[in-house]
Amino acid sequence: MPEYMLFIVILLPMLTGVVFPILPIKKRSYRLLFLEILVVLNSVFVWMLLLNRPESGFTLAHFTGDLTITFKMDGMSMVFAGLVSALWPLATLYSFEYMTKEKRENMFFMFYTVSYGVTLGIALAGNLLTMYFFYELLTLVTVPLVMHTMTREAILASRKYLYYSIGGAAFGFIGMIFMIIYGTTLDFALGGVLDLVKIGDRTNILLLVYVMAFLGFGVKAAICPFSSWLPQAGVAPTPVTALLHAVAVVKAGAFAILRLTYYCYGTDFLRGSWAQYVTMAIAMFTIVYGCSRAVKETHLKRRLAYSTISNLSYIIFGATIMTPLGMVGALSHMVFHAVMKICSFFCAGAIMHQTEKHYVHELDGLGKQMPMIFGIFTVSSLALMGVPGLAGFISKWNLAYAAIESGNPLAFGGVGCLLISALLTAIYMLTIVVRGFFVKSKVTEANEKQDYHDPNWMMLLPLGIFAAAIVLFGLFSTPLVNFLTDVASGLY
Amino acid sequence: MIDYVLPIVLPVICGVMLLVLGVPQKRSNLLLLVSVAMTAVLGIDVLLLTKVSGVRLNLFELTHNVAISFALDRIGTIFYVLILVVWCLVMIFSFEYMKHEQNEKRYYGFFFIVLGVLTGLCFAGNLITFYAFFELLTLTSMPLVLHNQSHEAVMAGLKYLFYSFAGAYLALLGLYFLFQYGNTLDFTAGGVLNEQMAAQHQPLLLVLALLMILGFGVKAGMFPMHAWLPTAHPVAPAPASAFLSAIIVKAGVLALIRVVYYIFGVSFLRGTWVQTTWMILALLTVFMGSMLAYREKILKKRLAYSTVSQVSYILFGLSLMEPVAFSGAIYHVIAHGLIKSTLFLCAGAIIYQTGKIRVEELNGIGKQMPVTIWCYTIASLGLIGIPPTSGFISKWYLASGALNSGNPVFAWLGPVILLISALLTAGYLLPITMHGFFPGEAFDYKAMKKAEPCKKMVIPLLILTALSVISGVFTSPLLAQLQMIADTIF
Amino acid sequence: MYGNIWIGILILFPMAGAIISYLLGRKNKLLRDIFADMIVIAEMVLMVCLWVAFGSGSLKADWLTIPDICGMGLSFTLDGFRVIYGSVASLMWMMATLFSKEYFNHHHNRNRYYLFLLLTLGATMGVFLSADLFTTFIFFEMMSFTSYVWVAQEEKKDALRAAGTYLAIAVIGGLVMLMGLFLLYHELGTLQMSDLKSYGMAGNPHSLMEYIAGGCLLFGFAAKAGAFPLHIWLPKAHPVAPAPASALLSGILTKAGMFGILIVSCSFFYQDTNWGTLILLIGVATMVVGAVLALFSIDLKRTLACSSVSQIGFILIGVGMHGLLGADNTAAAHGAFLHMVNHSLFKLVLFMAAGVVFMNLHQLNLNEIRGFGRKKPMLNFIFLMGSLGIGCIPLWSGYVSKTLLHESIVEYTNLLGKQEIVPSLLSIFDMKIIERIFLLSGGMTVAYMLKLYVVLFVEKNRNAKVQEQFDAQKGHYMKPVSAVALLIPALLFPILGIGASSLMNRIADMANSFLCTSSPREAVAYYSIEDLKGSLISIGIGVILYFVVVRLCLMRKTQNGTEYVNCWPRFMDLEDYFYRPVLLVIFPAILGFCSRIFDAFIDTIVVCLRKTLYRDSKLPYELDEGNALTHTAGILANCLQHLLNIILHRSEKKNVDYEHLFALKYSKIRENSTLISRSMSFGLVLFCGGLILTLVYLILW
Repeated sequence: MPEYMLFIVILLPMLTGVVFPILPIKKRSYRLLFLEILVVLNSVFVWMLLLNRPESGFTLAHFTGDLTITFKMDGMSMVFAGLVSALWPLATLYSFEYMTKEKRENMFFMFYTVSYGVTLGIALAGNLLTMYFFYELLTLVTVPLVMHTMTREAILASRKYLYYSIGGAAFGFIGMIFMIIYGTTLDFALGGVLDLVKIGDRTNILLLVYVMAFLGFGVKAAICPFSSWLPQAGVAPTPVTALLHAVAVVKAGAFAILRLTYYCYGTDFLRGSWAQYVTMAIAMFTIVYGCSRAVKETHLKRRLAYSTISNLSYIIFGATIMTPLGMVGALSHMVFHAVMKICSFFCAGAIMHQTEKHYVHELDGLGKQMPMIFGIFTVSSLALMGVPGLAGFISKWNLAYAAIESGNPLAFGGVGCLLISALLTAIYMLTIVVRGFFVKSKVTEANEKQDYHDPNWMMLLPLGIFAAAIVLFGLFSTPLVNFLTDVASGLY
Repeated sequence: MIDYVLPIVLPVICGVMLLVLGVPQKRSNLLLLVSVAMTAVLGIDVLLLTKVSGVRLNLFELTHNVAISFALDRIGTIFYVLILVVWCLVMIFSFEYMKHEQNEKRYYGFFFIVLGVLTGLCFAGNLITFYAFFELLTLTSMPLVLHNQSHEAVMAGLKYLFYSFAGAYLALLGLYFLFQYGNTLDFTAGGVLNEQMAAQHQPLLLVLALLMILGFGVKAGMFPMHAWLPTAHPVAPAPASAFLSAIIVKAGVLALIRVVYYIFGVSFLRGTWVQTTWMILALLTVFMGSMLAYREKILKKRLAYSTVSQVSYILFGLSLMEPVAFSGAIYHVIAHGLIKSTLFLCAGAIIYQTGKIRVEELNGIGKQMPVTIWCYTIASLGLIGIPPTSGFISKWYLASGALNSGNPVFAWLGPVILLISALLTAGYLLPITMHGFFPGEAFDYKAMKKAEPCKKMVIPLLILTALSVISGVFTSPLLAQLQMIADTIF
Repeated sequence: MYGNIWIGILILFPMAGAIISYLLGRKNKLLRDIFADMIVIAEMVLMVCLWVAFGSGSLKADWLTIPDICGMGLSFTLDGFRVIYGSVASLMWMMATLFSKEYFNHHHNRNRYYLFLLLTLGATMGVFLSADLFTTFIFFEMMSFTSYVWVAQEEKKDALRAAGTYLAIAVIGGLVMLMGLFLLYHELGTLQMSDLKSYGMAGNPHSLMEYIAGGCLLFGFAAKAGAFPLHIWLPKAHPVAPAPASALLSGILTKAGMFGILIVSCSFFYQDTNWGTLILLIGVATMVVGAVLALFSIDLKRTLACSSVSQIGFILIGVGMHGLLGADNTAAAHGAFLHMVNHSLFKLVLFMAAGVVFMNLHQLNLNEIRGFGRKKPMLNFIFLMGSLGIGCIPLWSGYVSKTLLHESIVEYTNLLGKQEIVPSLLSIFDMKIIERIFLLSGGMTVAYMLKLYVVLFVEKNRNAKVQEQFDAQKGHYMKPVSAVALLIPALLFPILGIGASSLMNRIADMANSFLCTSSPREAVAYYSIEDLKGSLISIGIGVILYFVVVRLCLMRKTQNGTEYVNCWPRFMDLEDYFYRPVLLVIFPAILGFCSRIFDAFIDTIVVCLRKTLYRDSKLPYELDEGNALTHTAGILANCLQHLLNIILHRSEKKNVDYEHLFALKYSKIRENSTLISRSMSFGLVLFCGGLILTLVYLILW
């Protein structure tokens, strides 16, 4: 495939999004059909790119010196881009049904589709500058989505989201500057581009900057001190929370950290330094913290959001192991968690959409009435717990394997954290399942029985596919894991 | 291939069918359906069991060298046969008992699924497969616990779930490390540890061993994480609790056998502080369980506590890491499996017929339902360890094993505690018989009405009781088997 | 299964019969009774045949082993002792069963009684024929549990209580015995009695572990035998059990315990002085305690029960002396053995006689049954025979055995004096005291038997009417079958007593191999002067005791004649004031508490976590005014005000909503601050401030 396709796939959704509100089609279904077609088309392009990958990059613009806007598809790009492009069409399909109850859906779909392009931009960015650029852009285009409902709560949430992300990006920016100075180039190269001669004895400063940048990008990946925006952003419509705040945006943060660690600073420089221990400790703490908050939380979506916080830190923990295996673990959890979490979020969304119930204790006995939804939710929760035979087990396995193989004592502790969080996950997910299936609901006892039922195919189809994917990855993950191993060993 | 996979998959399919498909309106139809499925499953299982070969079958890989593999060895076979027997008898009992419970369909469905999972547990050829089925077991047996959806039932179910998972994850930690430090995770008699790895990381590995013992010990109701048993049993339907404490608790025992004798290996653990700790915990549990049972007033809860103590007999036998004690332990697995299911089914029959759940209400029960209480009595004698019942044999072997072990303290402390707990066992089981058959002169025989349950309930009881006695009298074949197993692992 | 099949049949036959008779009994009671009688008679016949075969040595094999059963396999054997005791057992069972038919005429649950009667027969046979302690233990346990039903048979309140005690003792004893077996098996690697014997005969000193093992076994068997301090079940169980049952309980079941003790002491601890001393002391204690209790008791069967305890004491002394006397233990061994046999038969007769009384009167209190026996020569004769026998009057069999025992003590004392024997802890002086005690207890035996006899057959009842009824009953107070059942054993005593040197010596010699002893060098002259002296002394003591203690101390004058009073202080009851409180209250309380703590350990942690760290977070809500600070402050202030309202100024209550107040203040402040911050002047102020700071900076640096 020609290199410019790299740019096309980023541009196409953006344009689509922009033109969508002013589209001269009145009938809703046709507009949506149009949108869906384009999104699918874009995803097809992405996958074509994945399958036969342009070796060289595509440079869009030159700034002073060697600062360029460059798109290049290396291993990590393939993973992230493939993931995003696989999820987006399904999410869009789901949101068609979901948005029937929301207002101003044109605006929604506009930004929703634009952010697709932007996310791909992050994925395909060839150097730090480009990634930073799209990173900022992603924040901007997703803010309207958060404040979509325009309630006071939503506005506060979006404001917070904005401050946090921009602030974080600022730290990231510092990191980038240092890379410009101390790095040989800004392009991503596995193993890092630091110029040790230039560094000389300023190692500690560099490490400090790394930690700052880590925290900066970590804001989007919701690591512990800066995680409070994520649960609040749950006020956004479910497709947003599901796709952006469980996959695109937050994974972008993790993605950035991986880039920073493995492709800019390089693990040789960082491994064994205090920076590694600090970052790993932060990740470990966040893992436990997120789960604990999730156990305390009674609002369904917020609970899932907290669970996202802890699961993202799985990825970051994998990153901070700073071995190829660690990267494999991180990437595999990136993929699997995306599928699992979007699945559970969509179930939550479906429940809200069908029953207007938001709190866990309201879900008693719904499993009887919405068996499909709760069945799929069960699958996703089991996967999140890491029951063998489902996706979660594999990624946890890889992470633990990497941690133990690294021989780093703190990483051993990290394995412990993984298991603690697994237990807490069991607690906060299975209580929902049990309530749904086995608790007699107060309402039905008061025999004022509403008949809730499963949503229509537009919601069920994506859910079904996700559930199938979870099981499939759980049982036959070898090809994917092989691919990730190649990525981590720099074959792509 | 087929002889491993079919026995696992078939029951699961039956169960899922029962759960998913529409319920037949008439109860008799449901029962017909269930019994047909049951006979089919049992028939095929037995058929395949006869021709199953010990060869290992690697089904597929979850990820790199994490294979799902099956291999049926002697110990697995013993557990499997026990499971099949108890399962089918309890099932027959349920036909009558579950008449009064709601959504039977779900109950039977999960009962089938659990059989499948347990089969997988027995067939599992490596630790990962075992672990997978272990977690599935927790999940699929939970609906049996909280069957009657009352609030405390649900709470008990959750408690069971979370305790088991806590244990499972402790075990998983060890699993992660063993994957690194072991040559393989396939069960091999004598352990799989990589020598120089084991030498390097011995302290770490010992800690892990203890963690795994604690973790799997949760299912086996070992102190400190035993508390789910007395909570879960009283609320579950009687057949379910019978199956729970006769079989599902034994899954924990099987797990410990696998981990200690087939993964870590006796040579690695014998004489370490881990073994000592394990012994202490086991003995503590033995005493605590029977003491609490002695002070408990609700029959099923009393039996649950007794399970806590009795299963720790087994664990103590295993913790000695000594051939004779090992035989005793496995023998007690069978003895306790048969006896405890009998006792719980008796309790179920009493509840079903008279609705009495507290011990002091059972005055003169023996006059009302003589056959049931006879079974109860014989089973109790077995549990106390009165010859000639299976309980006595296991106790004999456990104690002589303990004495052979030559451990300065536990060689005599073990038997003493076993006997004290046996005394307590007599103290909490026999009063029911005594007051049941000798209600005293105040008891008026006029008001008493016969409450003997119907054949569907009585026959399983009789069979189980008979088995518990027979296995105590004709011991040599089984003992020979156990001897062969012991020869391989010691 | 190898060896002589008949031995197995001897054991299984009654058990099978038991079940059949139970099934029969559900159909037809009469048929059941007859069938049961047939069974026991057949058993008796079978046993006698075996005896004959054994005696004539035409037995092809005198042993039976069934390997691969019950883990260790079972093994039985026949020897003189076993043959005799097997016969005694089957004889007693026969009599008891024959008597039962009439005794139980109007009882509930007879079916149950017969079932367990016959089961126990099988089990007891198993005990007496067993060739290794494992087998012994198995049948011993069976025996304990099946005989429980006898005690509880009447289902009266105290019967159930006594049965409970009996069962508790049986279970505890059984478990301790099991522990002993474990240890023994671990030490020796075998439980075959022949091996134990050879090990003991080898005469090598015993290790501590072996003593512990032996102690455990002793505990287990002594509990059944009713030795002090585990005798407590006897005085409780016998009065409440049906008469035939109590006859068997104290006649045979206690002897089963003795059987075990004999094995341990005579074979395993052969000639072990320490062990001998221990047994001897236990024996003395038991003997005295039993005799005293019997003397004080005012209940017919209780008296007999206590006397059983005392007689067991006598036997134990024999066993002890057997250990002490070393090589020349003949007298002791024979004495012990013969006294066992005698006592079995005495108690059979006496208890069944008591049963006759009870089945007519349903009373056992001496004051109530007083004078029942008058004008009833048959009963009188039977009871008299029994009393004379147990009282060790010359010419009755009891005299023989007790003389032997006494002789053994004397002999040991002499040997000690001549230093011809391994010294033990006991000095000559101690032995002399023991001898005195021995004679004294003999005297007490005479005294309480005299008391019973006088009560039943001499004295008139206080209430003349009752006495008339008693007298009216003559002739038809017991059926001929029962009469025969009582008469036959009663006749044995004088026969044995008179034919002592021939019959009893022969019997005793049969048991030599079992008791590890030999026939006496010269035939014992039972009626020599010093022996007669011994017994005459105790008879004298007995008569004195009767007139001094019983007539004066234990009787009280009332308006119509005298009556017997129970002067035994209640607090001396070991069971009620020691065993039960300790075992049922104190231990469970303490240990149960500890267990509770362990039990709740994790749960408590979980609950604490749930209440603190993992508490559900509150549902979020928007403050309508003010901010978090003012909200909390306001709430606090309101609480304070409420408090003050309650405490200080009740008269004029203040109620200001501080929350609202603070909120208002907060908003006002915020407005002002915005106004200020936006105003020009504020900007100027800030500017000036900055200017000044700069200046200060410039000046200072």
